[in-house]
Formats: sequence, C-alpha cells, structure tokens
Amino acid sequence: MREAAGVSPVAGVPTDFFAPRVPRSRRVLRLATATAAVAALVAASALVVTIVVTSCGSLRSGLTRVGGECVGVLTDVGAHTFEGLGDVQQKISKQNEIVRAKSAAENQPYVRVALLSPMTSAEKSFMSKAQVRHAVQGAYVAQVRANGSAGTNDPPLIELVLANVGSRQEQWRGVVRTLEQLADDENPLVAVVGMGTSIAATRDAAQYLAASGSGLPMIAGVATADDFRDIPGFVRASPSDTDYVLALNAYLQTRTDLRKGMVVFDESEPDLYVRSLLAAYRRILKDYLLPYERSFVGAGDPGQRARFLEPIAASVCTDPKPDMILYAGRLLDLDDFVNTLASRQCFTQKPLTILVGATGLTVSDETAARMAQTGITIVTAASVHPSWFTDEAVVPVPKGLAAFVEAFRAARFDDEATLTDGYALTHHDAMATAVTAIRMAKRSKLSAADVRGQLLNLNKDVVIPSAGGDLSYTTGRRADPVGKWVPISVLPAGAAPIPKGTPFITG
Amino acid sequence: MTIHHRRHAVELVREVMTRGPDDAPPPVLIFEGDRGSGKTALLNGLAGLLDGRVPYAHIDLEADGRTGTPEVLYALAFHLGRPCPLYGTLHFPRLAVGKLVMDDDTLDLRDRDRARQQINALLREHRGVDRLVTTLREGAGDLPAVLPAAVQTPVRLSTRLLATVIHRLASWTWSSRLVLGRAQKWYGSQGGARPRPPVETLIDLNRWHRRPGEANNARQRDELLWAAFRADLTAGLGRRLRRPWMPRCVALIDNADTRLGRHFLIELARGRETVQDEPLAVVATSRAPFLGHLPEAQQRLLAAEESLPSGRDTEQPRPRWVRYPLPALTEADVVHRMAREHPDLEPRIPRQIQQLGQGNPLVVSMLLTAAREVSSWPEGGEELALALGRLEPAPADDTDRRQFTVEERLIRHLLGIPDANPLPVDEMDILTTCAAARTVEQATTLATRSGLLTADGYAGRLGLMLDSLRSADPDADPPPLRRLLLRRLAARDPDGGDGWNWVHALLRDQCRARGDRTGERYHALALDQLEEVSDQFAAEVGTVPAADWLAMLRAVTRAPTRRPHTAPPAQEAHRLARSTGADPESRLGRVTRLVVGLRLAADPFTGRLRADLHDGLKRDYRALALHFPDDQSLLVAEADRHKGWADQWR
Repeated sequence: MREAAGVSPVAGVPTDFFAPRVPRSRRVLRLATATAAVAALVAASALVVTIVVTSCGSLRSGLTRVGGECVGVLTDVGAHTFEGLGDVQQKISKQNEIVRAKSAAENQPYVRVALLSPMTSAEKSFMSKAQVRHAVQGAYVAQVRANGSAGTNDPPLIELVLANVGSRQEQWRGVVRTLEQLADDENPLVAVVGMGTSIAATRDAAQYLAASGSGLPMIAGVATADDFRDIPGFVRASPSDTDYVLALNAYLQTRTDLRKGMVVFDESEPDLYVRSLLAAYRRILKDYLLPYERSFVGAGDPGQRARFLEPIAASVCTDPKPDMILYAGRLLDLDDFVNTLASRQCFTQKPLTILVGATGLTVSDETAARMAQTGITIVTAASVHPSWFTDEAVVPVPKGLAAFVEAFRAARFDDEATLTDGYALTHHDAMATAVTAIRMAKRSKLSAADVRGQLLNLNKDVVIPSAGGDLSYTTGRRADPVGKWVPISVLPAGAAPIPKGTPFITG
Repeated sequence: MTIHHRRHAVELVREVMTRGPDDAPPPVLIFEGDRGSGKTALLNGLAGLLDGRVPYAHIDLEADGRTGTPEVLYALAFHLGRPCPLYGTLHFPRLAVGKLVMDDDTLDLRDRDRARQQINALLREHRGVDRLVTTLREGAGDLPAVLPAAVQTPVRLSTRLLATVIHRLASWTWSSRLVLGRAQKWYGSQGGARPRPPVETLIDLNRWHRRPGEANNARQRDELLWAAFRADLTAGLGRRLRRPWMPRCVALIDNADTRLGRHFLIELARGRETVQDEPLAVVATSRAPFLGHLPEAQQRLLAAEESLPSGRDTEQPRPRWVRYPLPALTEADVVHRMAREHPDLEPRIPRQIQQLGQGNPLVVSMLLTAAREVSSWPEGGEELALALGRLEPAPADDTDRRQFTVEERLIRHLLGIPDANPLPVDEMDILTTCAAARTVEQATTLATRSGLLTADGYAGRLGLMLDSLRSADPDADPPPLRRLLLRRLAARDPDGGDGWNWVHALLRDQCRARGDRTGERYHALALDQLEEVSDQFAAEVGTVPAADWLAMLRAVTRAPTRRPHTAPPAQEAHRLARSTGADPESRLGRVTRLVVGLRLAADPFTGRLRADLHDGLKRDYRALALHFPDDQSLLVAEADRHKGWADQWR
C-alpha cells in the first residue's frame, strides 16, 4: 500500500485516523512518568555502578573505595581484607564470632570498640604498613585478653571493629559519622581507640567526636602531640611530646658531656608531632640550646629525599659546634639525616648525639654501622625499649609487659621482633584502657557517654592491664597518662651509657 | 491499493468507534453496494488503518466451510486477541472453556455425575492460555483465512509468542487458576445474581451443541457463547472501557448479507440492547438490503454525506442499524482520478469508461489501468473493446489468482466466480440471453424459458446472478455486467436460436402483445428497424406532450446495437440516417437523426470523437422544438444539454 508521509491510501485519511487520541494530560503524565522512570533507572544504575565500582569486598562491607583505598568502618571484619592484615583480620573476625556466640548463648549484650586508624598504607602515608599491622595486632591482643583468654573476662564482651580513615587519614569525616551511628546500635559502639598519628586530621576527627552527641570516648595509641591534651573525651596510652622531652631532659642530667644542643626541625608542612616536639625542646631544654636552629624540608614520602640537609651537616662542624642535635622531624627522614651527618667533615673530631622523642625507633644495621664509624649516636625517649621484648632486657620492664608479650606470642603473629616500634604495645594499652573504662561503667544498657565519663576515673585503685606502665588518668593531666614508662634507648647499642634504674615515668 | 471517494465511509466508521456521551450502543454500520463497488477493498483498507492501533477482527462470512455463530465468535475472539498498544492483549478464556466443553463428544449426557467428572478432568488437562489460543484458532475454522497475508503473519507470530509466555504461566498453579478458574466459574452465574454450579451449565452447553436440532438448543448455545464472548471482551478491556478517548474495538464483517451473516448480526444486535459501554463497533458490508424484516424505526438509510444520528434527539432515538450505500463514482471523480493517475491518457477515454462502468470502482479502475496500456486508439470507435480484450496484469507468483482478459475478469468479479472455477456454461448462456431484456420481468421470463430458473424465480446462483443485471430504473443506463453480456450476445449468430435477432424479436413481440410501446420500439431499434421506429416518433411530434415524447425517445434510444462502430460517431450517424432515405431537412429526417444519434451517444463503445454528434443532436432538438407548441422549452433544454456534452467531448 502506497503511503505518503502521514497520509493513508484509504480515502486520503491520516494513517493514525483510528488511533486513540490520548488526552494531553495523560500524554504529559505518561511522559512525566516515563521520564521519571528513566531518570530513576539512570540514577539507580549510576548508584549501583557507583556502589559496585566503589565497593570493597561485599556490597555490605561498609567500605567505600576512595582514591584506590577502601575506607570506612568494617563491622564484619572478615568482609574485606586490607593488604598485609589478612591473618590479623581473620583472628579478629574469629574473636568477634566467639563474642557474638557467647553473648547469644548467655543472653548478654556485647559492645563494640572501633580501632580508628589508617589500615592502608601508601607512599605518602604517615604510618608504614608495618606500623599499621602492629597497631591492629596490639588492639587484637587486648581484645583477646579482655574477652577471657587472659582472665579479664568481665562482661560485657568486646567486639573489635576496624575503621579505616585512609593512609593519610583524609577520609575521617565519613568514618566518624558511621561510628556515631554505630553508637546507637543494639550492640553499641562505646569507644574509639587508635586515632592515628599526630596530624591535623587526627585532631579534627577527635574534636568532631568530642563535640558529637554520641559521647564516644577516644583513647589514642600513638598520637603524642600536646595539642590533643585538652580535647574532651580524649586520652592516650602513649606519652605526650612534652613527656618525651622531659624524659630526654632527665637523661641529660646524667650526661655532662652533652651541653650544647642545636635544634633541627622539619618545616615542610604543619605536622602536630613536629611542631609539638619542637615547642617542647624550646621550652624544656632551653638551657641546652645554642642560639641558632636549622631547618630542612622533609621528604614527604619514602620515594624522595629530604632537602637542605647538607647545610646542616656543614654547620655542625663550625663553631660553636653542638654536642647534640635535638631532632624535631619525622622518623622517615631520620635515616637521610643520619647519613648526611655521617658525611660531615668533622666526624673524626667530634662525636654527635641526636636526641629524639618517638613511639619507638629502629635503624637498619647498615645505618647503625655507619653511625658507629662516624661517631653518631641516637638517643631516643620512646614508649618502648627494644630490649623489653627480648629475654635479656638491659633496662627495667613495666609490670604488665610480660602478660602482654605472653598474649602477643600466644596470638602467633610470627613477627614478634617488630614489637620494638611500640605500635602494638601502645594500641594494646589504648584498647586495655577502653575496656577498663567500659567495665567500670558496666550497666545493663551501656552507652558511649557512660564510658567517656569513666575515663578520668581510671586512677587510684583502678588497674588498667597495660603493658607500658601502670597507666592511670587524672583531671590534672587530662589526656596524658600517669604512670607511662618512657625508657631511653641508645643507637647503636652501647654507644652511650643508659641509666640502669627505672626510667622516666609520666605524671 | 488506493481507495478513492470513501472518506465519508471511513468517517462513519470512526463515529461508531467513538464513545459518545450517552451509554447507548452504536448502531451496526452496514456498507451496501454491488459487486465491485469497493466494499471489500474498503474493509481491507479499514483493517490496515486499524492494525496496531485498535483491536479488530476482519472476517468474511461468504467463506466456504461449515460455519455458524460459534465459529464466527471464535474467529472474532482470535483476531481481537492480537496484541495492541494501549489495549494490551485480550484473552477469551470463557469462550475457550465453552468451546472445549462443546467439542467433547465423549461427554456422558445420560450420567450427569460422570459428565461432571469428565468436564473437570477436561478443564484440568487444558489449563493454560496457550491451549486456549490454539483452541480458538482451530475453532475459527476457515474464517481467519480471509485475512490478508500481511495481517496473518503477525497473528501467527503473536500466537506463538503468546503461547510461549503463557505456557510458563500455565505451568504454575496460581496462574492456572487465574487463567481458567475465573472463566470456568463464570458459567455458574454468567454475570447474574443466581449462581449455580458452573459444571451444570457446561453440561447443558455440551448437550445443546451436540443436539442443535432439539427445541431451542442451538439458540441457547449461541446466546451463552455470545454472553461468554461479551464477558471476556469486557473483562479484557477492564478499565479501558471507562476511558472515553479509547475507541471501541471493531469487528469488520464482509458479506453480511449471507444467511449466516444475517443471523449473526441479528444475534449481535439483540445482545447489545441491554449493554452499557458497548466495547465493540460492528462494520459490515452487504450487496443488497437484508434488514427488510426489521422495524423501520430500528434502521436508518444514510444519504451520501449524511452523519450518524446523534441519539440526543429523544423524538428520534438512535437506530440499531445504519445503512450506507457506497456512492458510485461520478464522471467528475473518474476524470479527476485519470488526470492525477494517468495524465497521458486520451482525455475522452475516461468518459467512455465511466459510461460503461457506471461508477463501479472496480470496473473503472481496471479499465483505466488497461486503457493506459493501449498504445494507439482507432479512428472510429470500439476503444473500450481494445481495453476489455487486453490481458490483466500478471498476478504475483505467490497467489492463487489466474490471469484473464480484462473482460473476463470483470465478468467473473461482477458475478462472484472465483478464479479456480470455470465460467459456468449454462448460467452464462442464459445470462447472456437475459442481457437483452430491458426489464426484470423480461429477464425472468427468458430465464424461465431456459429451464434453469424455476417459475418462482429462485434458482440459487442464477437468481443471484440475475440480480446483477437488474437496474432499479429500466430506463437508466444498464449496469456494466449487462453491457458486457450484451457483447457476448452480439457475438452469437444473430439469426441463431438464441441469437441477437431472435431474442430481441421475441421480446419485441412480447412487448407488443402487452401493449408496451416503449419496449416494443426499444427492441425494434435493437433489431436495427430504424425506419419503423423513426416513423413512429415522427408521427407523434406535436401530437403527444413534449415530456412524454422525450421520455420515450430517451428510453428507446438506449437500445443496444450489435454492430461495431467503425467510423467516427457523426459519420456513422449520418450514414445510418441517410440509409432510411428520409429527407434530411424534413421532420422525419430530423427525428431519424435524433434516434440514431441518441442511440450512438448512449453506447459506451461508440467512438470518442462525439463532439460533432452532440452538436448535431443540439441542432435537431432545436429544430424539432418548434413542432411542440405545448412545451418547446423541454426540447430546447435538451438541446442545451447536448451543447454542453459537445463541449465536454471536444
């Protein structure tokens, strides 16, 4: 049948002559419905694609992929495996299952504690892969001890969840919001431990949680900057930077050969740890300081080298020559710094001691050898002493350390040597502090605010099963622990005398 | 195929499809027209317009095969069930259940308990719409075969698709219940308030169907199936019935004037009496009026451009039936169409074609197409003979059509003889003889003499064929079939037993015996007794009223001629008039020229160069007008008409 456009060969009527004349309103409605349906479909598809693309592990793991990292709160710890944490996560997951099973069997609620920390590590991260792993290990050991295997199994049982804020802790906002929501859960989140390193993101996250209605208490592992001291609900299991410098000051009382110190600091970017440590040097060790300081620009990541270290190496050889260098920089740049100083022209004429406060410090054997050859010694005020974890400790050890080490060994992580960086111990102690506060606040319907209210009651006869000293917290010292041991260690070993008695204890 | 001149008919269809403000069902719309008037083409065109837009069924009730109301309903349901946008796919489960039960001739009608068990088992076995579709398809018998191939393919496709989809539905218990449970249950109450076990009604249905001759069994069966069909249609359309902008579904029924068609449509109209929101518009075709037995008030005969009665006038309620005779093509239509479709054709040929075809669209269309193939036209006449003698265009290979001459094709079509059958010799012989008859009575007399027609005038096919020869007015131009058969009569030996001269002499004598002067002169002129006829007309000039004289002259000069037209019309008229020996300037000479000229002008096979012929007629009318003192103006007016025709043929 021949049909012109729109005209039927049947009497020349339009081809749609008999077609239903759909009312305009209905057409509009149908168009709107179709448009809305398409839009909804597109949106749903985009959402699904986004979820699928950005999801980590299962869709309901709680993690989102941001910048290639899976960030978020992993309530089901086995739902996604962070690189390098597989075995630890398996253990935590298993422990959590035990907790849920026990609670169901005994009809008792359990509570959750979140380890908020970088769980991933990148080139520019503030915690190395090893440090991340050790932090999680420490928290796990404390969980296991709290849930009964170490004899501290008072109710409620503790489930540990992992909250990854990303390698540079930039995703803290979403994570802490999720944590807030978990605080209202049937099995509530009642404390946050870890908190990451001493950077602005940690401070901001802590301040956010401090101001939130969730009332979540925060017990930091390695956040040592003095800036955190006045944040409500925030305490730490590590010494503050001031405590480190006080420990160094005490050490210097025993070293009459070290009288002239030159401050060297990293000026690359605002870093609470560096700034806080620098301020403590200037404040506490001012009698030792030469009137000039030197700065350098930190590398920022392991793939680069710190800049402007050579002028410092030259300056230590000019009068007045310093006996010691008070290092306020990241440990990441310390190797470079040491190697640069090793090439100083006057290394044969005058030994040089580098003082630093840090959670734990180790150097490679190669660097240690070079230091020995060039008269460089590093004196560290730290949270741990390397010999604490050996059978032949050269210094006294805290009372609770043995139980921790025993529990750590029982966990069979097969990397015991790395306890020396202090991350496992401090995170263990943070977790132990949280658990102690939880059990002090023990109520039928426990809330995070209840636990926060007990933080500064952890003193006197209350015993925290901590490994780094008999920790307690007071309103006078606020976030800073009382009783935390700050041992002095010397690298290379034996290069300088170490006080044989009890080390500096905070408080 | 392009369909011209049917705009109003298409608009009427839309009117019956459109839901009005009142709840009254629309009338059944019947298009009336002779064979070749375009009824079937119109329905095919309507089907094309409806396809994919509104559910419709298109069935031909003249189709062979044992068909009755059930088969027509199955065909309707099957066709209406094709998927259609906005309407979805209509299912007819109630009808299919009825068919399943009706077809079970093993049902034990003597043991009702056993019959119940048999029906339950039967319906359990047939759950699933795929089987229902097949059931309806089989039940429709030959009726779906009338669908054009283009329409049938999607039917088969949709059946397959539907069957595939529904097979899954039917395999689930819940959907099986949905498919058949409700349909089966309907037979309990049939929409009424007094329920009874459905199986009891189904047993009755089986009995009615297997024993249709008993009492009112057939009628009860048909009524129940009609109700099932309506319930299915209403349920299938659901909420769409309440949307005034959605047109009604359409049933296109060709050849409704068959016995089955009459019965079916009357049943349909009866079922609509109490219905609100009638979902179905019915459009039928008929060759002849067939509603004569129904009250006049229920019918309405529409004029050419008249619309449907609105039904708002309480004094004149909306009729149940509306008849619309499809108007024949006018000469202007044909000329216009020729100018558009065949601009190179000799412009006078369409006038000759219209004179032969009398507005019959098929005749006009075929002759125009054939004429376009003629390379040169003769100087004299018989142009249409050339066109009629041509072979029609070769049919497509994939059809059952055969190739005939245009003349035989037209005869076959106008008599309704399919390609596969030869032209029936006996009937054709008698029809050819009857073509000589001027009136129905004459034709019947001739047919009765042949022995093929009984005295009461009913002899099956021949009786129907004779209807095709009939004109409402014996003095009107003969229908095309008669013209074609007259050519066959002229081809016989004129002096043979059934030859031209014998038949016309017989008829002339009969007319003379009855005192039918017009008929007597008509057949005398057909016998070329020009001098005798002219004398009679000349003798009456001035002695009889002008109107009567003119009327008889016009009727008589429509007499056919068996002689071919070898010279241009004016020359032929001159030669014939001179052959009588009458003085050209005398009254007789002028009358003779009028008789000859008018007879030539009435014959479509006369040559196309007719301007001079009509000019001569004009002059003779004017001259003779002086001899009619009572009313000269009638002859002057006639002269003016021929002047106009002369201009048209020039």
